[in-house]
Amino acid sequence: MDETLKKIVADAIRKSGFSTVIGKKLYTAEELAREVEKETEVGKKMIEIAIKGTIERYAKAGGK
Amino acid sequence: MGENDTTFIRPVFDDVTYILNSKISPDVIEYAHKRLYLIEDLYGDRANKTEILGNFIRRIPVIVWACSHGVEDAVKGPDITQNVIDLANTVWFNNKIVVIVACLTGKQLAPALVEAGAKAVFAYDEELILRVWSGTLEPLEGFKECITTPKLLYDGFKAKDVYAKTIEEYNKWIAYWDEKDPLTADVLRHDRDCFKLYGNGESRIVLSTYLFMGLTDIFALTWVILYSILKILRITKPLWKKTE
Repeated sequence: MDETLKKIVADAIRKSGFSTVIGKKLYTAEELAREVEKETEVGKKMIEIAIKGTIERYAKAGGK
Repeated sequence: MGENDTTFIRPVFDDVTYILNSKISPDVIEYAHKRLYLIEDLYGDRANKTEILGNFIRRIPVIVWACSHGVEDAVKGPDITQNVIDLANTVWFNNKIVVIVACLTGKQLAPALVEAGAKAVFAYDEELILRVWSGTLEPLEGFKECITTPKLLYDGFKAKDVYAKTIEEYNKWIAYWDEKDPLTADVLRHDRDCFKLYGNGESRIVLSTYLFMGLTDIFALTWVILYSILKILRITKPLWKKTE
């Protein structure tokens, strides 16, 4: 997976500082960011969600 | 019997079930309580198959909520090694509306419940993701509101309308978080997209008869007060005449 993409998502997670419940576990921001960097299943899921969300947000804004 | 009954299945065995059942589901219980529904709260260790069966024999709930971990064919409880709802007891939910706040259950369990006779089932067909404040574990604004929107069932809304209102609520909070923290908005988008309604969208519950009884009491009381005032006025009328 693209390193820049991983970095963007991991940074966004760290910056927000919120904890996240995903699957059966509660992750701190730092733990989840590391999952993204290590490209685990949870990390991949977060990247997928971020890509999908960005596409929708971009489409909603009229592609601007 | 049973038209005012609602059952909550709320195991607590880790951080995630603690958040679901201490920070989120109590709102729904309070909502139902204010509308005079009779609540059976199977909390903690009581969230097991034996207690559910006992409850369903004593009462017949119209709505059942289950908040826990989920897999494709089961809701977990009272601990992660046991199932509180699975393909073996789907028939117990015959003729009920079921709201499942758990991961993945939309894949197999919800269709199986409908197949077994449940009127309508709300469930998530992917992993439900929540974002919470790190210190307090309180859900971020919007998550609780969206997850608990099916409580509108207690107001007599049709299942399909409740589903539409839930999606509307998700979209409202997505717009809110798009401005503040886009990643949180993306998580809400994910949850919105995996929230599904199975079964008959026209399903609804008859409004609590206790609610109508309550309204009748208010009308009766108002009538008695007005009648008493009228009586007093009639009795005291002769005294109103001016003395010459």
